[in-house]
Amino acid sequence: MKALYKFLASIKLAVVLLLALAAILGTATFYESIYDTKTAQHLVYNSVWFAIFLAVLFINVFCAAAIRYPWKPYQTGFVITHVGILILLIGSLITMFYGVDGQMAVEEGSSSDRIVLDQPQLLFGTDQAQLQEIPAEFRWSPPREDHPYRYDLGQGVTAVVDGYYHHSVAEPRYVAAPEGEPAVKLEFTSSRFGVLDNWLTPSMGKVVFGPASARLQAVDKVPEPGAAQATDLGMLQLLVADEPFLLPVADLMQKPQALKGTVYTVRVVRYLPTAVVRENKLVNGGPEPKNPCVEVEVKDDHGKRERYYLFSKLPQLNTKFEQTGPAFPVRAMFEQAEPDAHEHGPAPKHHLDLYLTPDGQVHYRFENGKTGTFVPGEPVSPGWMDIQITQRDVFAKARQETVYREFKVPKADKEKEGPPSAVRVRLEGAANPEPMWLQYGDLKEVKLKNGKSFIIGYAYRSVPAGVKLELLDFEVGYDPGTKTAATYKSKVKVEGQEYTIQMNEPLHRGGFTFYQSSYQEQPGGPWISVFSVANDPGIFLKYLGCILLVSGIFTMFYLKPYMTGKRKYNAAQMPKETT
Amino acid sequence: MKRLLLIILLALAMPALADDFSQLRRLPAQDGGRLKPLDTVAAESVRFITGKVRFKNEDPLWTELRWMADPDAALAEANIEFRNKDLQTKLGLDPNGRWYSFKELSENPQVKARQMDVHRKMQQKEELSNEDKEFSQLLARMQMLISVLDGSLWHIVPNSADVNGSWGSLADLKNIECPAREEMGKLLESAKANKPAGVASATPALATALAAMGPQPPTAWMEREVQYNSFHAFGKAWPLYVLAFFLILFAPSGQSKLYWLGMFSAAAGFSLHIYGFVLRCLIAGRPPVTNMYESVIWVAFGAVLFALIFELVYRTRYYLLAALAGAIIALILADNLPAVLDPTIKPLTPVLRNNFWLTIHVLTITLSYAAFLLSLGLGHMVLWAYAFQSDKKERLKTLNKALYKAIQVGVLLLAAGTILGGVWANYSWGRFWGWDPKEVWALIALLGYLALLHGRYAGWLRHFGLAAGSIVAYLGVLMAWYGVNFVLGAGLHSYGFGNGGVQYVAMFCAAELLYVAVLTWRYRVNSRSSRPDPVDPPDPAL
Repeated sequence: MKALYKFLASIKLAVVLLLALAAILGTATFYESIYDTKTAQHLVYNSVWFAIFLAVLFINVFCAAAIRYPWKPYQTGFVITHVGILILLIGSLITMFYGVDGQMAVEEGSSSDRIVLDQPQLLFGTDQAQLQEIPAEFRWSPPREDHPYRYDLGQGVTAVVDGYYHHSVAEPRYVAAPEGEPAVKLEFTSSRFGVLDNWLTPSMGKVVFGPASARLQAVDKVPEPGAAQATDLGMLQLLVADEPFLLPVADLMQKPQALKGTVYTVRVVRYLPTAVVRENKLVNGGPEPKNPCVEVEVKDDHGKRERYYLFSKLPQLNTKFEQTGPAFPVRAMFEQAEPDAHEHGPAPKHHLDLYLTPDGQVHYRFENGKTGTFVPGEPVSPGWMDIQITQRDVFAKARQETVYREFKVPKADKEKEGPPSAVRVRLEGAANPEPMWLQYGDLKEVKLKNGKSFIIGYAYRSVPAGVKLELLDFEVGYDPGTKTAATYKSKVKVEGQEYTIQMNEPLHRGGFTFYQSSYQEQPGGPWISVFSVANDPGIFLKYLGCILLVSGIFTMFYLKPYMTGKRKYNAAQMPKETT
Repeated sequence: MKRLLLIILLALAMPALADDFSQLRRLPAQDGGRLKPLDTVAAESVRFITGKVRFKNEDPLWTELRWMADPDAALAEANIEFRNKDLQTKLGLDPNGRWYSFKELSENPQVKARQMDVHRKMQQKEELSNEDKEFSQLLARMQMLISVLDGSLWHIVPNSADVNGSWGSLADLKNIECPAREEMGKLLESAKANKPAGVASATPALATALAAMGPQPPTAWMEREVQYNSFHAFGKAWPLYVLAFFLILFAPSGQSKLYWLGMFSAAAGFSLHIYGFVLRCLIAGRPPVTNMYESVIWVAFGAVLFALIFELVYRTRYYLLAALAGAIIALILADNLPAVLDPTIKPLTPVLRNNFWLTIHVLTITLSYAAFLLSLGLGHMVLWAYAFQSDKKERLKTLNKALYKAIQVGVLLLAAGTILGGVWANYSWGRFWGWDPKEVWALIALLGYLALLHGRYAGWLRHFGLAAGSIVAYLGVLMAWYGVNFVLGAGLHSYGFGNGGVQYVAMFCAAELLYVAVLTWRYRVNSRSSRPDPVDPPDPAL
């Protein structure tokens, strides 16, 4: 026993532990450099074996100090330093168990009272307010079909998680369906951006792909060049008994369309690019779409009808000006995109019009006038740099579904910036036992066999902050003449009081400290300010330990002679040398 | 002797003589997120493009004026530096050349193909190979030359409302009907006619015309930076250090006249060192240790500072010899490796601004690197003495003590600095310790020295071992200081990251290990032939 005590207190063990710790940490930093921070933390810093290693170090330091008790004056520095280390380690332990370190992202004008932690979890339950939380960090031991994770949730429901992508991309895909709008898949190839797949449907209108825009229209025959462009006229949105319909105005001008599953037929009587009132009548005032308006007629199967004026830019002026029977359960909206309104940067240089004719052929017309018909699988060169366009799939009627695929983060990218994770879950006991994918932030409702609805979600764990933080205003200051953010600050309101949080000027409230961490810019939308929120109950002990540690070293090195009465390393005794 | 020294000092301290461009170089310009004199803009861009401080031994301002006055000649002149044997060969360029013309490069089909390739990789966020990165540098230099020629680099047209607003460039000036445009035209005429004197006489009118267009920064700022650029205090400090080094090397003792002359010379160099540093702080408006270049200068400063203090107390000569050797190497490196040690004064990332704890933390931790640099030099001397002069017992004793004291200072400062880093992190990010690579390596470096000190108490290391260990442990410091940013390239401290020089640092590490190995072998041979190290008894255990 005494031999063990001596061994644990020995300075030789200390040297071995110091060198081992240095080696472990060094290896960990290389791991971090090759993989990423979270992997290094999982494998080393937050692992059980590292905690055990630190515990051994703690015991060594403790025994080394204890075995020398009662301490002699010359050991003052030694004792202070080593007690400091012990206190520092205890403080770190408290932080590890009771500390909170999370994030809070708040949009300008809104507020938040929850701190999001970097801990993914699955949520299950029938009551939105009381969901069961299950830790779901699958990154280092992902579930597979032959190695699923099962969670018994009670009520005869079992969740089976059998798939995981650390980074996933949700891609819309179109599949042939008995009903729906047409869809065409195009593939763009270029030496500059590689291969890009793109789906087009008429309701998308003009879609921008890098240097070009494209638009698909379903037509009876390819229109002459210069003819009015169908979807230029915008889209009509109808809500019939809560059932949505989205129809191109241009189509409805040519022929009335029956709304599937209802008794109604809709048609556009006239389209006014610039609606103006003259002599109490709504007439067209010019060819440019300055105030686009449509006159729409909806008929039921008894010949009763309603007519509306719908304005794209001034929907508050939408009116029903004729009604021949009881009101239809119909709500209508008209939307026409502003010509060449682009949220980012200049308009694309090139444009491609596609026409899908009833024979299933896709015809193209480039902005340079070049026209032709796609042969599936055969690339067409529009003459835009070296871009080639190939038509892949055509569906006369298609429905959209979402597929998930794994995304490998290129090394140049930072791990954190990759797309979110996704898990595949199937619920045994649900009406539909098909597996479904959930991405971070998804919350879905499913029906159980007993008819009850059941909520299933995948999100980061969050804890209440105790206070509500409202972001009143967010400001960014730039370095002169650049777009490099120099400072940013958030004006917030907490418990009725206004504060400013900025870099290096945190706010302490409700036991937490809010630090300005970063921000996100939303094109056209409000700023999102991101705060780090932390509560570190171990900080006092850590600071105390540090102060003791440093003052102990100082005492050992520079005050020892005064403690012992012997000034051993006295300057007067510095050997003099002559050559 | 003293008179000679004074004359040298005076010659060094002589202010830059007035020249044809003295007014032009003081014109304020906006560049890289701050206002600086045109002198700095030209010096930085010419150095970036040509890799030389004075290309063709011309004033950088004149070089750029000459280019702007005759763009076609500038495009045809071999002025873009590119030195990478492999790539030069691959691109079909003369592998023994150093400068190429823009014309030659832009018409080279391999360069074009490679440019497409790199561009595609960047768009798709693919990882760039080191060769790609070198090539991107070449592209950036070509781009820089173009921005000089089309006038978009010189942002000398003041913002009409706000001095810190966006300034206009010469390219913008071309579209504005104003006196400044005319004056600039006249100035370039003189440059085209190869008349620097004409440039000088055209400058006042240009300066007046520009000043009329918007608020200007204080002239004292521009003056200060021009002074900093032209005086180049660090470049004058190290020759004085070299002089001091040799004076002290040949001084017979710590009392001799030569020793004091050496001390005086070192102090003179040190004053210049401080002067340069103060100027730089004033220009940047912040403490000076935020990138590799500044930290190298600061560490050299710290090493000399500690050595001077120790010398004043102990008069051993060894402290100063060790520190001067380190400082000379550091300052020469700082002057000659702009790609790795970028001397440009840049604005800081937000988290580093206005921060008391940052200043304290960084200054403390880099001072510990300085103390360890001193111990590194002393470690070399101890090993050398044991290997070749083991009969000089007094010298060995003095050296051992000196080494131990230097390590003590380093350990105290590194421990304090690492902890202060935690205080800063807690203050800025809300966490005391987050296992960030820079933090971890500071800790590893500290653990290395702690292992040495404990190993000494355990009786495993004696004086020779401590000295050998101090050299090996310094490699940990080097990793924390340089390696985390340049080798690991991960973590929160990424605002100091860059590329380059890794192979040289690796060679340095290998050379140090070789030195330790060879002298250890030599020492072993010596000890076996005589008695086992009589002056190297184990320290009394704690």
